[in-house]
Amino acid sequence: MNDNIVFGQYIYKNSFIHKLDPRIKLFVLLILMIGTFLVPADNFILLSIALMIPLIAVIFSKISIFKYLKSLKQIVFVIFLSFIFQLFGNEGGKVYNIPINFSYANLILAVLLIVIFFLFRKYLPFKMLIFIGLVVLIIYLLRFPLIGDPFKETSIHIYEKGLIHGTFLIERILIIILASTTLTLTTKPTDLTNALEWYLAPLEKIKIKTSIFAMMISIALRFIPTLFNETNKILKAQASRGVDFNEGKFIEQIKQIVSLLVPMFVISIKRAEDLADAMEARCYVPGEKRTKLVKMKCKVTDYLVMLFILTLFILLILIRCGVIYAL
Amino acid sequence: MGINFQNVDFKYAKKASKKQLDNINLSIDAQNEFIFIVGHTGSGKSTLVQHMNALLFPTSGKIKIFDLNVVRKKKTPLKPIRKHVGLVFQFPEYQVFETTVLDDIMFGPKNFGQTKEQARSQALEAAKLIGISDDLLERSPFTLSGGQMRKVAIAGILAVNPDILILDEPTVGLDPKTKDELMQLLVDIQQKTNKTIIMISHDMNIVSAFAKRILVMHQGKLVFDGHKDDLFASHELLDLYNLDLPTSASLAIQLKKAGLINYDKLPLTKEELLELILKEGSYE
Repeated sequence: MNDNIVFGQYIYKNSFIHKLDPRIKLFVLLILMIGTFLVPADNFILLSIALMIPLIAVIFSKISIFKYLKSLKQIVFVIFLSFIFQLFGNEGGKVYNIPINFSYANLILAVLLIVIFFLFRKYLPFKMLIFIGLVVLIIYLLRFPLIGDPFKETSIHIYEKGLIHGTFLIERILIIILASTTLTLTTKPTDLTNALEWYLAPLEKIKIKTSIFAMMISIALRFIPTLFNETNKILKAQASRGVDFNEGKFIEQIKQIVSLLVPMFVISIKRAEDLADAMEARCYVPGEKRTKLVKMKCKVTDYLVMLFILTLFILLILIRCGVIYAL
Repeated sequence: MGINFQNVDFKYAKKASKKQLDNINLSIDAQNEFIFIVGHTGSGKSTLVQHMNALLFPTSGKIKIFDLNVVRKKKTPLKPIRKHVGLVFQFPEYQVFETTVLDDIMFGPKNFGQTKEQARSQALEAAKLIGISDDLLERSPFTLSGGQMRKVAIAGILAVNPDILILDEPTVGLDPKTKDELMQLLVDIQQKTNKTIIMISHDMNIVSAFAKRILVMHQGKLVFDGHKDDLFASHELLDLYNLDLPTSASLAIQLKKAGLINYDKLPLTKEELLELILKEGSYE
């Protein structure tokens, strides 16, 4: 049912990436993100080295590549859009002219292709990719005046710089999405919050109880699927009372959303109360020192990974500052 | 014809190997039926009744509800189907949200296009049927007890005046007294209005006391459809599908073993057992 929500979905596999200390994984993600934005503009070699890191992690994680593709699927449109903006927003370098001829036959063909696409959309996998491919195909087909004289001839100018910038941006987005998906797929949410808590521990010195926040985050994460199920149940219950969220006047629609929200609030508060009781029954005192069930411990591999990433990062900074002129 | 299932299969995902419903064939009359659906947790009972309310749609096969086809199409209006078949979910008190009890009961009829006055009169009628006293009507539903809230929620569906009423474990989580009271009310409603009532239950005492017809679900299949005597008389069936006997029946079996009573037909209710024991007593 909720197979499409990949983000934040932990999949158990016995892999080197899974066994890495969550603190190290979080650290690598952070460095990688800063790194991708520190790479000098249009330096593809350096960025490709950065792309290698999440790719290696993806391969080592033993998780099916389709899981990663699914998380990319959700943002294909965003990537495409930002590529288009970069493509037409930059001028400079070589100019490529793509001639476009508007003739009636061409236009009819284009409309026909789009109509066919929307008719068969239901049965297609990778809809967005196919749609983008279709748009490119149509633009390409518009080159040739098929039948009859074109009534308008024009052309699209694409500059080399735009093409390079666009590709560069796609690669950047790819790195960040792949890296963060790897993190969430290979790390349990509780481990992640533990790592976060560890990083925020210095705040305890200035009397900020980070452990409470970590507990709040892990409880919130744990209750997302539960509340998702409850919402589904209430939606169905109200649907059998004649609620249809897609019809009616605006005021009626508001009223219908209230019929979902009020029960959800009631259920959440009831659950929160029960949970608080259960926690107190197990002697939980907010902010009090607690022992950990699983102690996070860095192993040799963890240190090696950190060393590797840090070396790359320092090299990058040196290149950026102009100390090293390589590449 | 009320509800008709023809070779209905259902899977949650297209590629899922497990069928939630497996080749269901079933027909239910629009009047005068009192049907219980029993089966283990995860046997597909709830999935089945959600199909009857057009909340889920069959992967393959045909469902007809009052001659309306249940299919997932954007233009198929689902409201007429839901108007014919009312579904009361498990723990229905969670669906209550209005500021007063009466408003909440009126919510359903208003959604199905009734005017305010019509909705009000239907709500009052439903409240009377299910035994909600007049002084509760203007109170906030959140101040009521669990049992009362459940009655309000059931009244909310009754007010729509469906031809077939489906209840998913209406008595679960209630104390014994409220349980009996609610069951008696539902039986009364069935007799007064001649509506077909379909009920999911785990409580064999209730099932044996009230069922006219029993459906047994097992691993997505409909494995038994018939009279309660046929089901409870067959030890093989009960064992196969992990169903219990009602308390009176298992007591009667023990008594027979001890040689205290004798019977041809297994007593299923307290009354039948009592009669047997009294008869036995009169011999001495």
